[in-house]
Amino acid sequence: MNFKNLFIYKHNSVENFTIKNATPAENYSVQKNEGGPSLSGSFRKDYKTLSEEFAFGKSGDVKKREFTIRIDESDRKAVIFFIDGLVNKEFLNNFILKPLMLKSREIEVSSFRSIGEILLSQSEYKETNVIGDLTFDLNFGSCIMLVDGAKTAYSLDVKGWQHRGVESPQTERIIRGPNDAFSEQLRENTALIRHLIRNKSLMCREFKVGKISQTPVSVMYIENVANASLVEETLRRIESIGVDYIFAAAEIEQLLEDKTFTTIPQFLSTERPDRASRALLDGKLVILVDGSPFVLIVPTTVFELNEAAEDNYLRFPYVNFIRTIRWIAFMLSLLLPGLYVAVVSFHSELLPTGILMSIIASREPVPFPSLLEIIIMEICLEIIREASIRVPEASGSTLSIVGALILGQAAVSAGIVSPILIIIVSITAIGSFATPNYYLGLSARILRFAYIFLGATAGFLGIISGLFVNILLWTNATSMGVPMGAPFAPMTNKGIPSPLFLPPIWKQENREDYINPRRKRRQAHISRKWKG
Amino acid sequence: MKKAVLLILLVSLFLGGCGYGTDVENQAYVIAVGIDKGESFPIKASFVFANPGGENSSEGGGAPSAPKPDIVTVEAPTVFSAIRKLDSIKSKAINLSHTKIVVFSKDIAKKGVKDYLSGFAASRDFRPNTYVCVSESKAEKYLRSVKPVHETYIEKYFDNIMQKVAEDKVNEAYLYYLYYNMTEDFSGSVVPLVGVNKNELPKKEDAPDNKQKDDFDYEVRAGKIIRKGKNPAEVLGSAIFKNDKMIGTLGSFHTDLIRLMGNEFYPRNYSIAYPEKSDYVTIRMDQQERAEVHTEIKNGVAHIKINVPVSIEYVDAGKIENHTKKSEKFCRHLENILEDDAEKLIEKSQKEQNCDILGLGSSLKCHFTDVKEWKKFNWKEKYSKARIKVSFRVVYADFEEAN
Amino acid sequence: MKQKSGSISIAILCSCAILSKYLVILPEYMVKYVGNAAWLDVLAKCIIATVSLSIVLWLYKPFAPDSITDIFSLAFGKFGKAAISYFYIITFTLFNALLLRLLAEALSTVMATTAPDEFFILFILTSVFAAAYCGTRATSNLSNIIFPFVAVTILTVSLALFPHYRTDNLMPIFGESTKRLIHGIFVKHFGFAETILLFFFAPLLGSYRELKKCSAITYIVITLISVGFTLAYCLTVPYPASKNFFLPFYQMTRMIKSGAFLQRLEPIVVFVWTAFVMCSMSILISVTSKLASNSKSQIEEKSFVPIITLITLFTALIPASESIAFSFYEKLLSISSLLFPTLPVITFITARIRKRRAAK
Repeated sequence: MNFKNLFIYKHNSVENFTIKNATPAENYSVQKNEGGPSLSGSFRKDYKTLSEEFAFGKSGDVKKREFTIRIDESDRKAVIFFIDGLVNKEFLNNFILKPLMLKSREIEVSSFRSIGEILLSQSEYKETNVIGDLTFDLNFGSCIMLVDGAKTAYSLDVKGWQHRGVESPQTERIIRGPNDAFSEQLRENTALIRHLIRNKSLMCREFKVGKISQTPVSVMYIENVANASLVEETLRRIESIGVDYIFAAAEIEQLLEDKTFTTIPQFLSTERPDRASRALLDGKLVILVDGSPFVLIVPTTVFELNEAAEDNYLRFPYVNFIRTIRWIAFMLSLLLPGLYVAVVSFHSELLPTGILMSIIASREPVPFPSLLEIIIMEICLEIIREASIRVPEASGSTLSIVGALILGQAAVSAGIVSPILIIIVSITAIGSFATPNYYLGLSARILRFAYIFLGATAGFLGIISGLFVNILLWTNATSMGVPMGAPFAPMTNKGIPSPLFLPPIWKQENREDYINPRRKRRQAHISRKWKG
Repeated sequence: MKKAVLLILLVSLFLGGCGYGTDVENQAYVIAVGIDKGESFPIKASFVFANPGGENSSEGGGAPSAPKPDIVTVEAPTVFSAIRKLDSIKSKAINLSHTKIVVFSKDIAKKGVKDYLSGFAASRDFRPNTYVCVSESKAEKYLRSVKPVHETYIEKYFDNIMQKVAEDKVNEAYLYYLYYNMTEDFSGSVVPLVGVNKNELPKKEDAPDNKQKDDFDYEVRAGKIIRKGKNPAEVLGSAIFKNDKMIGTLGSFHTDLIRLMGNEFYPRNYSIAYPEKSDYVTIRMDQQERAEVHTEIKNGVAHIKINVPVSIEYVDAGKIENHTKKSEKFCRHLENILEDDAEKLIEKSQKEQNCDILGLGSSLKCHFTDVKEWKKFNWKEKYSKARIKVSFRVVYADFEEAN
Repeated sequence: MKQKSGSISIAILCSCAILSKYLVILPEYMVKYVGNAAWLDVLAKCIIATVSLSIVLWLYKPFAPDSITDIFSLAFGKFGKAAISYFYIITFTLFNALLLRLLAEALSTVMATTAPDEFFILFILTSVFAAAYCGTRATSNLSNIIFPFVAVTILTVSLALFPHYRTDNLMPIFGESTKRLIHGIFVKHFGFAETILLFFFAPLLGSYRELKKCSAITYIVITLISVGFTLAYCLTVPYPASKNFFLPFYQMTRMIKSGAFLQRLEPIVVFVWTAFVMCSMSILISVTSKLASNSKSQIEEKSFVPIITLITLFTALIPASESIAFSFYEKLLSISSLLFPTLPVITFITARIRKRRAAK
């Protein structure tokens, strides 16, 4: 190694991606069920219009099937559009395609009217020419049929998304709010999202990642909201992945992230469709991987990592209280052991005399210095935590007994650790459990050791310089080109829902500024019109 | 590779620092310091060490038995050399950062405490809000006689009792106040007086003639209360410091008078002999309005008027049966007593002590534009010539009376 | 998110650079000279500095939003620019080094350990290096997070000291002597030298309007905090005693005692403020390396950061004792008026003349 090169900065030739300013979206109106443009009546023209309207080919879950119907003794071209995952395929095959393709040849169908009257036995059957209606129905689980020569298009109800198999979330439990969770099936997952956002501009781009495994990966975004450069960059990154196989979202996360060596996660993962949909509507992207019940939300910020799924369902006063508690818990889980070591070995004047005396009394019989003592306890705790994941359910109680009794009670009475330390370590552990994001909790668990060493080395100076570098690295990290410290570092526009103090729901007027969404406003200036 | 080298550099930096801290259990915490005149060396310093109690208290289960504090007395040329000598006596490192109180004995205080105080104020260990007090008896004797009854630990006792007497600016008991006043050349300081009681009730034959005395008796100070109890240590009255030298002591009533004039009074009950010496009236004295200080400089002489409003309430009216009529008379009587005493107090401070114990100088400062002029005025010299008039206005504060 | 840095971020960055130095020693320096009227002195200085800044801003107007380095070369040519840049580099590095030394001295007092000053210096410099290496934008992000904590700490300290405030301490109002006060306002310089950073960061801000907004915020913040802080110091510690303390901030926080539980705050406060100083040092290091590299590319800029950090480290170790460092620091402060506003004013006037000639 050349020592001269030690300090010379080698830069990578590729400029780091930063998010570009967005072109504002055309001011489109959300589909209304009445009015709006309608079909022309010419099959070829309408076929093209509807393909574009339904984003067929662009959005991977929009499917079509072309076939012929025999009407009035002549074969007519026909096509049906449907959204894979929202419709019941058995239904579609047996009660739509089968009668149209086979029965039309058995029974004599004289006119287009007979399609509805004789062939199709749907309870919900609609003939309409209004494109808006058709789009709405399509997104709601109907299939749309066009027949050459027919004056209207047909909207046939074949709803049948998976009610079975949708379970409640395992890791993101909440008290109030929906309790659906994603499953391992990609199509089901996209359907769950589409079920919540019944909008035509919800795009679903499909990829096959893995040369051998050919794992289907979907990227969902809302075209009218998401920043185009962000979408482009994400798609570019996913397309460029050249691995043999991936099986889970966690793998693709590691292949896509901006910085590998920081402790902070740059993707938010969730197993809740409602959370994913909310992120989509905020202008973020959702990456779904077949075989993974977790989807990735990108971009995200440090502050969002400490938000829970429940936050949006809680009333204004409660959510801010809980968020504050969560931040305190996170800071405790990160800093408390380090602070304890720093105070005990450098800043004993900080403690009230009474507490100092009880710390001394409890530390008196312990043979180890405070640094070693806390390292022993923290490592034991990490071992217990790791073991509790692996342990078979049947012997779970043994582990808790061993953990609680041996490490808690016996270690204290044997004089190996002081009781005050047990309290500190348990507060730390509880604090990291209160952190909603698993990766953020993990990063706190790792950094905690760094803070312990820093605290033992230079007391508060060590802790402060540790925090200094930590904040530096965290705010310097980017998630898909968006700085993780936003909206505080760098400071972006005002008037956004603050990540630390969430305003009441009617005041959350704008989308987060730092992702440069194409539509800035989330709701009307006066969203509670009844208040006048 | 580069990163590894950097990492090694960083780790070595951190590990190099690991030896600089000292764990709490390896330190001995001084709770109180007493300074007396020594026999073979100039001073004799006593240190009260906190005793955390060791293993017993860690077991839990019920309140731990009161651990006895360790008191070490060392003779040395200075306090800091005494602290150095402690290193050879104590096995643990000496830590002064939890010192609650510094007690000077009377003779040391009279000689001047400048050297000690500037040393304490400069040292990082002593916190600026350490209490300072003067002991009527030997400081060592006082520290050894403190036997807290309600508190398990002795440091809590000092905290509690000093908070009671010294939380106002009149008893400027904090180290930094004393130090600040020391650097100014016009202001006196008032510091609480501690003492050790004989702790026995007088027998019938040798009981002194205390019949005429009431709560307005200005002779009563620490160590002189007639009482009996477990803890012989007590705090009452105050010592006056002029710059860094003690020049006298004040009884409890005079301390209260200074509080009254300095707007630091809080309500208390007083029993006063009235109308004759044999009977007592108990009143609750309060200061509902602030005392006003008017200062004026005429021909280089300071004219100061202090108006002190005092409101009273009867707790026990004694022989005053008709409150409405006789209360006026009683109020005048009270005003006379207060004014007499205040005048005596100020006269003494002007004529004998020449020390501005009321801190009037600070309100006089407003008449000057800069420090040079103020220094030229020389308040230190002019204090004795200043015309100071104190008037009390006693008001009967009762709802029924007010109507 | 905007592509440009917001005016608030840059304002915070500049206030960091100016205030951190101020909080370490300056009130004491003021008090020594003018007595208990230090706060008046600081107020007057802030007003004068604001006036001078507005003049400089007016002079700068036609060049917006160019960086001041470009204007140096416009005004004095290539060599003139190099000379001025080196002058700035040397003074900023000296400022940094001496501040580092004083900070290390202060920290070893606060922590009362046997650790040598070098240990503290290395420790602080490691973090500072990390921040400076990541660049101006990263430091700006960092200061955005740290500054609110510092502001809250200062506010808490001043509120917690409320029972110790005595208005008598402010009397006599004009301090040591009226003559000295007036002399102090104009001569004993306060050191607003870091205001020059605003003009270094001007390209980041984009427009003259933003720069004006940014400088207004900076000066309001500085005035509020510096005057408020000095006033708090003057209110708590009476005049003759206030001369005797090396670290006023430390002395003030040591006096706080609220209840039996919160008896000592000073380690917390002192170390929050250490982070603040570290922030400002990394800003200065990244700016000096920008000046030294003399190029717009970030890569070259970064290669200068380690060199300047090492120079700072060795410079900090030169003074034999703290008092020598302090006296040198005081001398350095007296030339700070040269850094700002004198040099920028000369530059802008020359550049204006040259521009006009070129136009003819």
